[in-house]
Amino acid sequence: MTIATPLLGALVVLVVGMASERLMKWIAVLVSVAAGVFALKLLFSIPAQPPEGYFWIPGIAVQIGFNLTGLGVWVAAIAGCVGALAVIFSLKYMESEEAHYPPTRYYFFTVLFIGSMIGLALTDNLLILYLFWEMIGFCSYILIAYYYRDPKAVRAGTKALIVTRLGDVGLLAGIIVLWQATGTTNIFEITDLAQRGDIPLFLLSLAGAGFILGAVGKSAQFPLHVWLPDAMEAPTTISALIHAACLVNAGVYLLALTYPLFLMLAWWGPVVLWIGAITALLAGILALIEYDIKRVLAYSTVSQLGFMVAAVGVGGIFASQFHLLNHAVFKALLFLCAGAIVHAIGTRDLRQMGGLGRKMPLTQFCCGIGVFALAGIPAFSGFWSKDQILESVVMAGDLAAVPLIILIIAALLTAAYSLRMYWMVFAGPRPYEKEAHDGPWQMSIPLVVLAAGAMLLWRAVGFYSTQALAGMEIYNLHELTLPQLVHETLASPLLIVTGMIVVLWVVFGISWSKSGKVLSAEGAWADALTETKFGFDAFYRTGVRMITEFCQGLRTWQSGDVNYNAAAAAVGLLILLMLLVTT
Amino acid sequence: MTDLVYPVAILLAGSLVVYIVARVSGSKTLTGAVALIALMLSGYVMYLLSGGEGIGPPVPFKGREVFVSFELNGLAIFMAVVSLGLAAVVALFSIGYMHEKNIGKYYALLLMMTAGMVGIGLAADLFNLFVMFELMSLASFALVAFEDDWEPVEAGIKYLLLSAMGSMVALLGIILVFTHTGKLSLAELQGTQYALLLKPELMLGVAALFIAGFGVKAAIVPMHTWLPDAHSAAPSGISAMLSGMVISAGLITMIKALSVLHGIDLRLVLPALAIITMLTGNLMAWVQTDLKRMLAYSSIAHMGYILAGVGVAFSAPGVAALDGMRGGLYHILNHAIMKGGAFLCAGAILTLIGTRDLKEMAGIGRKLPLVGICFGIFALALAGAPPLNGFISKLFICKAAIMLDPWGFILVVMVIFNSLLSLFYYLPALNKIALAPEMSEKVKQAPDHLPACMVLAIFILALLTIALGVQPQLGLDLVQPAAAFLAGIIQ
Amino acid sequence: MWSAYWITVIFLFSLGIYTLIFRHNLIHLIIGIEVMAKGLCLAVLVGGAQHAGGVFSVSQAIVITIILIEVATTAIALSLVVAAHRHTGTVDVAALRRLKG
Repeated sequence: MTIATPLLGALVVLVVGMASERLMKWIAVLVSVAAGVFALKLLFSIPAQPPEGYFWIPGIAVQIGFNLTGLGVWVAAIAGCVGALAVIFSLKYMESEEAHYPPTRYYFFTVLFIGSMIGLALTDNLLILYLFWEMIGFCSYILIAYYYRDPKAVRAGTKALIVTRLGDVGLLAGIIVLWQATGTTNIFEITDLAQRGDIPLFLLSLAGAGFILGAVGKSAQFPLHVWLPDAMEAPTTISALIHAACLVNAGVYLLALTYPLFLMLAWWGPVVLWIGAITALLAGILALIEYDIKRVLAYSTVSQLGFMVAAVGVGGIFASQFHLLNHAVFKALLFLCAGAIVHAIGTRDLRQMGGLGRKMPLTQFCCGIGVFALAGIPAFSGFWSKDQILESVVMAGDLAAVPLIILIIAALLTAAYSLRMYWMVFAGPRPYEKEAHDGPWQMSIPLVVLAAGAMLLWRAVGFYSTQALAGMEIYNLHELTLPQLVHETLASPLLIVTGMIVVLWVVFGISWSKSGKVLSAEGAWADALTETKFGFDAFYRTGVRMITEFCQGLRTWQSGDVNYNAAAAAVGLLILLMLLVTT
Repeated sequence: MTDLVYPVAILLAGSLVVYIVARVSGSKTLTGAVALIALMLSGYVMYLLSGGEGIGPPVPFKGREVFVSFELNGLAIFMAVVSLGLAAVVALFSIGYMHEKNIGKYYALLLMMTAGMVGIGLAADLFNLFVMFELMSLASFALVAFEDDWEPVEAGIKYLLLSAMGSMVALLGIILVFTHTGKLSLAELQGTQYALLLKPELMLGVAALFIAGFGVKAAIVPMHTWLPDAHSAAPSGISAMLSGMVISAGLITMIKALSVLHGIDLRLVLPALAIITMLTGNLMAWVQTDLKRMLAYSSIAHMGYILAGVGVAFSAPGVAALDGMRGGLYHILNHAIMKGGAFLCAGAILTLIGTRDLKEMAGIGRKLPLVGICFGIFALALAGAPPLNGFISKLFICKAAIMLDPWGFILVVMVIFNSLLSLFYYLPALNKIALAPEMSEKVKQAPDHLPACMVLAIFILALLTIALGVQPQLGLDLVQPAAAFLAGIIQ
Repeated sequence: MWSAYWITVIFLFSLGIYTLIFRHNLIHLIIGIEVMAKGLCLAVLVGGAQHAGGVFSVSQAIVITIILIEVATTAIALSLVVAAHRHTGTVDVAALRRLKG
């Protein structure tokens, strides 16, 4: 029901959209809200016995079943709720674009996007998961390239699809290897078999590497993170969806889901941990020097995803999923705030903002809460979950010492860049001169709801942990109630980190108010870094260019000469003869 | 109604009737309608022969002449359904696409070509198979060079010379088998008593002759060189037929011919050829600027995927053989639908703006949203995007390929990686057609409507692309008996 | 099996392939195909003659069919060569190299 609503709803949107655009938009809202409500309902009453699956392709025995464990249901709920809010927000936000770009396409793919993500989270079958996994990829391609009159947007969409598909090569190959090894694609059956040691370690290693590659591509981890910042060319609501609800969470979810499966592999956890830590650090540095407000947020997402991935690497499934939940809420909030700002003043360059606080008090307030949550200021939601992550890395022992240091640095960077962004937008020496104001109610309601969530969601940790545990015995999680969380957090040595963040915050604030200057990286190295972004883009571009040149070389072999063609065929015959005789 | 000659004979008679109708009436709508009726009649007869509901047991048939022998089995029905279906769509499309001039010849040749393909499925002896193969080839030579311009003529000559050479090579193989056994019937040759008459080294030679000979038609690298020229120069409907079905029919012929060689080890050869073929096709397509030429190279890549499935069937025992054959045949079906559709879209665009150059097509998808959307569906299906049909059959192929003993994993990774490579040219093409910032001059001047029959033809294929992806069982019902039959005869 | 017949067959077949690869005149190329086909006709007859019981009559039928197919192929090929000559003014394959890459 939860899956079917948005998927069928998308079809209705498409059909109605041909007739009446106005009606179509309201149906889109209705459908996405319904999906959110269904997902929430599922969350509050997770059925003990998942509903019966049915055969999709009898010929190869692929059974569609449902995965109603806490892990999936939470991800689905996040997708449904954030998705619904984003669609409501779009009503106003996208209005001005409708003259230039077809709205039907926007709402159709948005609803499809949300539906696919819910489907991905609720299935227990790796093949179906892959199917939805690709569908969100293709939806994101079309949505990122929505402003097709801007060549940059089209390029960004193409890049996003190709880079994520690069990861999918590994994922699909991994799924097929597991399928061959176990004869099933049901994730729980495979996990059972793996834990009993029935899958040869070599095959498990192949699959593990493939799954990491898939998750790295989708969740924009090092070294495939390059597509996410470019994807900022999308409409801001879509960015919010991609970052908070639909796209990038899939990779982390996949890693968390398959963590018990690859428990046997000694190398799997550390590799995941290192990937996460390196990503968190690199993206944090890049976020600190970026001037485009949406790109700052994008790098911040990459960085936060690095935290989540690292947590999975040391077995902190709960911490990672808890952070995923919190991150979804505050990142959606930040993106919608950024959307409201961009909508109001029409630029994304941080240097042209400043002093907006007086014009847009509501946005400032909501954005402030989001920034506090992101920075990990105590008592906001991000603080608790990030602390959980660091704690789980600490518990992993000496092996994780270097990643732990990297992660702590990254946490400090998080505080630095988020506050920098906040100052540059809302404070600043001079008030913003042109006209600007808060958005209408369609834009404000989602902001307020999300802000409340970012502030209070951590109090629901008890509920979250009990629900997240449902049906997840194999994950070895322990329940965590609110007092325990508070106690654990306050008792941990990592409080020092929190303290440092607070100190940084204060110093930062004072230095700004005294000098009126905004801390930002200046100088040639920063510019160079902003330009090159550690050279990953250049690296991939060179790769693609080399293949293109190779292809151009290959073309000369197609000379168009009949004699030559006949000779090629004759040589083919000779080679075949030789091959057959020698084998 | 037991005479298996009828489905082929109706089409051949139909081609005569169509030609006369065109000469008498001169109307292309009427001619097209008659051709459609002939195709449907042939399909109906096929349906009656198969026992009315689905696929009955194999019905052997010996004709009046010594070597006309047909057999009705799952494969014959598969070939008939796919080639008649695609031919019907192409016939519908061509009513709008072709000019009045020479329309009779066009439809007559189209029906002949289809008759050859139906015959390949039905043929029950080696020489009969070869004759049907040649019937299809001859019609296609004439169709490639149908328009009298330097480009079709040049492509036609290259296609003809290469194909004729390939046919001769394959015929040499058939004759060697005949010389040593004195038999041509597939069923008899597949029996064990004749297997002993062929010495192992002779079998290897014959296998090489079959693969190289029929491989010219099936566009296996390095025998593929004629394909990009012929497929891009032919009228678009014919390109759809050629890419969608003719090259696959060449491969089916090859499988049927290879089935007479017992216990031959193609473990290394076919998968290796598959990998080379898909890589070459994709890499060459990467740098094309001509839409139809790009699609033609992509056909080579898709023959590589199909060959991967078929190669597994030849290399692995039991279940894997069935799975591989099923994957290969299902991909033939899907490729016919999606590549046929993509070529028809290219044809529609060609009609509107008169060029095949991708650069000049900017924004055509916005001028004609239906063509743009359908091309998007076909391109994504060709690139293997779920839940469209191309993904499902590639999944089947991978599923079977992993069972290939020594290097199945490499084959799987190559298939998936090649799907990624294909995105590198499908996405830019799609961006150009549907997401270009500005419409090009030619597009601005283009008319904004198409004949209804062209739109309908494209729409049918797009619908099938989605339907077979969401509900693969529809296609599997058709493919399963054919795969079971083929997997049975190659053991 | 290595009789004079088979040597002739192999000679004709190789000659055809040689022609296709090394000659530049379109008419020569078509003759090359024809030569291959004639070699195969001989092969069918030689092969059929080795067996008893009506196999040879099958060979005869096959030969006629091969000739039929060859005639059709040649007819189409020659018409294409005429068309090519009209467009390029020559029957040299060097004039047919515009489609490439």
